Amino acid sequence: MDDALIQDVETHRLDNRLRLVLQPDKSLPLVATHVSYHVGSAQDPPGQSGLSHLFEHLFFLGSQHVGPQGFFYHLRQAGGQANGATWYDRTTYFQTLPSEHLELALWLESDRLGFFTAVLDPAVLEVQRNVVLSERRQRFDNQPYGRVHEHIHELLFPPGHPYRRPVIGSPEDLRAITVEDVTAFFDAQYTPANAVLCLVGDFEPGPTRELVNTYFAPLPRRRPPKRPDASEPTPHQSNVRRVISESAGLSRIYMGFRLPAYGTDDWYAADLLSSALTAGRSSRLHENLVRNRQLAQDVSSFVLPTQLGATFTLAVTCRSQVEPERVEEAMRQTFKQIAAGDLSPDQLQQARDRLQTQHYRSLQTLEKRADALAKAELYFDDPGALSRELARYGDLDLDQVVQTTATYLHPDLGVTLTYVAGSRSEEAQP
Amino acid sequence: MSLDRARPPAPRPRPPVEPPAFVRQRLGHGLVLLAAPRPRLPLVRMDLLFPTAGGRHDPLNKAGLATLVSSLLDEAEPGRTATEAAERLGGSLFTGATWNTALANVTLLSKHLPRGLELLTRVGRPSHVTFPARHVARLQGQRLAALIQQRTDRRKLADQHLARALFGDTGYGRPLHGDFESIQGLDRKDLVRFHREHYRWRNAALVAVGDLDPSALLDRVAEIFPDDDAQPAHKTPAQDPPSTDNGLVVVVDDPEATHAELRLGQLLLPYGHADRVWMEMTQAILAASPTSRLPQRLRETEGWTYSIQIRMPGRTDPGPFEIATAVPFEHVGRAAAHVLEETERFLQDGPTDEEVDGARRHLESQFTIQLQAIEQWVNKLSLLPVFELPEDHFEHHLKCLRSARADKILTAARRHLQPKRWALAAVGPAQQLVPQLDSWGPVTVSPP
Repeated sequence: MDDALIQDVETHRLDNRLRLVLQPDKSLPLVATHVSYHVGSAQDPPGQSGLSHLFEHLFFLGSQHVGPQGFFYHLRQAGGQANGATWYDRTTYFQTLPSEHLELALWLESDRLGFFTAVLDPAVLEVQRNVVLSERRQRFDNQPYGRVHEHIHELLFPPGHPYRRPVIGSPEDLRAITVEDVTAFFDAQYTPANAVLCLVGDFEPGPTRELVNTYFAPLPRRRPPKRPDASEPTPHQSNVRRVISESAGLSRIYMGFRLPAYGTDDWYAADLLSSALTAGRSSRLHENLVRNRQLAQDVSSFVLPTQLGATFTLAVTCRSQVEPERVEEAMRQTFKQIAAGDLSPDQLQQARDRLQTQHYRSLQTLEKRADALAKAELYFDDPGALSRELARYGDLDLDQVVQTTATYLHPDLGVTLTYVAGSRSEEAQP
Repeated sequence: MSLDRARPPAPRPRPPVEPPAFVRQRLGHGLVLLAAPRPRLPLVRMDLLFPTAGGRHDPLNKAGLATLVSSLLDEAEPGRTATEAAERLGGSLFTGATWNTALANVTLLSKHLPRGLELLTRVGRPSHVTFPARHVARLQGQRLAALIQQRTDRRKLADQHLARALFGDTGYGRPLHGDFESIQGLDRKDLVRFHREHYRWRNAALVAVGDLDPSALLDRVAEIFPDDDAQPAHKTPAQDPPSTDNGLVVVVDDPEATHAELRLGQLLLPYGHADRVWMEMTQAILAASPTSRLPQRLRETEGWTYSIQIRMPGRTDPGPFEIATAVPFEHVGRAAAHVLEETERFLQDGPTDEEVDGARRHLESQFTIQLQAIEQWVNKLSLLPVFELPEDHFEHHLKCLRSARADKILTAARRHLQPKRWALAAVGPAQQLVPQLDSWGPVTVSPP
């Protein structure tokens, strides 16, 4: 495929097993440096939910040579910006800065990978624990429908499954984490062999490879951690329901399903279906439920790109005065109709075309492109997998999408979570 | 190469920060075209702007009219909408309004550019809009439902109550999307009148960025944008906001909240004011990075908040200076006091040279970082017609940044920031919040 966004990509592996992905792009005098570690909330030890995310916060607080609070100080003086993100399967750290400061980014990243624990103490941990507890209240507990993913994953995954616990962690578990826990986590998970360093932007590949070697090659090779069990998910059979009354202004219904992992044909079929169902005002559910029947205020859906099995979630917000039962029945009917073959080639082609435009739009910034290339290398050992994604959608025919729907997205296989506008309460129905 | 980890590496020579290159031309009937080629990707984004049709032009008691009209631009004709046509090509089309402008935009693969232009013409052409009554009723119903939903969003509630405290019953004090009373009170005639008075080619601009040839685009635009409208749009005069001489304090009583949303603010400058660049430096020094003064105090030292930011959204008239954060209930009073103390210390002592240097580099690199995607280019170029800025605005802005000094920043900050007169809005249980805030001034308790 002719994909201008991922031309000139090269990959290397250092002696300590750190993977390096480079893509020069001189369109602006900027460089994005991205490090993905193959560790996320799926690796949080029992009783320590939220540890991988709390660690992400701590990892910005400096390291032995950079000094306490030095990471952001040096970055600010260089005009750079940085952030991190913790997912179920990986944790990412990304910076964008003027390209003349590329070496500074390598200094900062290599120092915290090699010499992080020097700045860690109980006082530092306590402040960041409080910041994370505030983050949980601010972004999840205090928002309408804010804990939806926590509920859906609790309903979809059995006890002990790595995706059952929330990425942000429970307040009780967060309060119990000690400096020793953090140090052990760092020693086990933050090794060169468990990471991908990806650079995209204004640089020459040859001298940049040498710079990367200078800063990262001296870090000792360590054994990569054991991956969690990646057994294939089975469809959920219990048709579990949960009803939550909360002070959200409008009732909303979520239907969740388990799917095979990111990278499988079924995953791409479900993602294509998701686009056909809810992306844009001419999508099937928007046209039917929002515009024509006026039962719904909005519709949305998403497929999580996770490795130990994925999830498909459909959400529909009810118009005021509309009974949630009516909307739920319409959602169930949609899945049943598609599973029975009621899906037009036009709807599917429109979804494919939309994904193609989205592909280009989503990879315009250096930071997003570095993230996508690093993810492809981390999950598939091949950044070129990114360029093949569009072909994966194009190769799927109508029958495959119908088959995936019948196998994994039949309403009796999913879980239903209903937020009913009102005061706070919770009711589970097996 | 030998490695000394003990000190940061020296940077390479610094290339100059360049303003964006673009073409600007006014057509016979007044439409301004701004175009910039970005051929790396087969994408194009085009925004059709009507700066005289944004939310600031809502008549008194008709809050939400501008946004409702803009959302109906694509409901004008029977048959398939322009949005559906764009989506059939794998793209997207959006119509809406901000405080400053109404707009329609389309994003498509560049091979569909001619079709995209036709679709924009269709939704933007003044004489084509009819507002069928059934579409008006449907979107009015949808807007009312959205207002019900918004009432439970504590962040938006805090923003709205601060705006009300700052702007009173002038345009910016009323909700951009209206309230129950104003939306229910609108009828089709209001929409038709607003559209007739405010949507004119003479005051419009088309901003296009992507895989395109500006001269070919200009020819095409001149050809297909009809010359059927020579009248200028109705212009709303500048608004006189109320004076907030004493700190107004509003507590939105929400006993079910788990965390307090907190806002502090005052009126500042119109976007085009010469001191805006120095206030942007002030904003960067106080809150742009985790090592800036306010995050350092509230987040990295106290551990009270996940985020604290300063917002200065651009407005044609004097706009707001807002500090937004969220903290545990028990720390609301002290958090507000810390913010006040840090700001007053800044106004007393001024920024350090190191802070000025960091803020300048931050703003210079942000300027470039915000030119990566075609949508970002369009947003940047749109500033020119929306705020009636000169063509050399970006060169001038970068020149100011290069000349930044502590005394220039401090003089502007002292001229415009008045923390003692700040208004304050907080959302959470009034029983816990009011006793912590009553030293700021008389507290008004409001239902959500």
